[in-house]
Amino acid sequence: MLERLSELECISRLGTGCVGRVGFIVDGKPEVLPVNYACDATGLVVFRTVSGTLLSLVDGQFVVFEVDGIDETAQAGWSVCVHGGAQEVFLATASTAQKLADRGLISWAPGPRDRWFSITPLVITGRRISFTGDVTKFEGWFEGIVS
Amino acid sequence: MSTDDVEGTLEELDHDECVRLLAAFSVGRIAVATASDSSPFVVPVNYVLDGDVVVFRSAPGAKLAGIDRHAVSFQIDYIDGFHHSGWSVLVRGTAAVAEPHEIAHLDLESWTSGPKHYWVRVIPHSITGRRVRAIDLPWDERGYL
Repeated sequence: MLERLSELECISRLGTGCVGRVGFIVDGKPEVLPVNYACDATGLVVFRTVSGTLLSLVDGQFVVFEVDGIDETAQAGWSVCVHGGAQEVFLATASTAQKLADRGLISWAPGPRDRWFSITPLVITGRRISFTGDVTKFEGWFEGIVS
Repeated sequence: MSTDDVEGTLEELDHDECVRLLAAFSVGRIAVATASDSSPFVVPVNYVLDGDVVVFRSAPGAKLAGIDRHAVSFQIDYIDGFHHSGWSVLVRGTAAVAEPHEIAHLDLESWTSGPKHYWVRVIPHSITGRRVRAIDLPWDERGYL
């Protein structure tokens, strides 16, 4: 069974995570990289990286930020995508990012993650799927989640 | 850098370990560039691994329907929020709609329920992975139990 999530529900689920994935395009090819993140009640996402990484190229790009919770055994779960513009954030001038920092955006990776980026949501979508039948039929996410 | 950062370690995973992790999982995320000036499309999909080729199912009319011969990325990860650690594997490659003979040995059709589905193979160009591990944290003096 596939169910669309309301924007409110999406933002609520976004708030429960600590790692999400930034999808963006480099040289016409999609990249998907996991990041620690924090978000606020509007779905604005903030994450950190360092110079020289692929992620530091996202400034000014239209990107997608994805979080999900998947139960492989039950073939059930949910997925939320925030599509929006990524912008580098300079803390001295960004009170929102500062608030998120105060709320504890912690980077697990070593080294100074001193480049901050925000993703301002334009479109937030989410799906929840629960598979109630025979799990050996290998159904669940496939075309249901993408159509 | 905020004061509550815990310095962990970041290590690259070699190809064999990445493939081993891919083989052990069954759900990942496929990313497709829909337009060069737009955000990619990222969705979770079930998959099986055939050697180092990720195979997943799609259907006509789905957003992944135009995926054939497109550059794609396929990503899996495991996150341990308590220990601030985890790993991720990224397959960069090209999507190819599978010919029946290419997937016949996987015995996939017995798992499907409808005739309209088709299978997509991700022909890998590169398979990379990273693991983030927190350093050993000091014992919590307050004790457990």
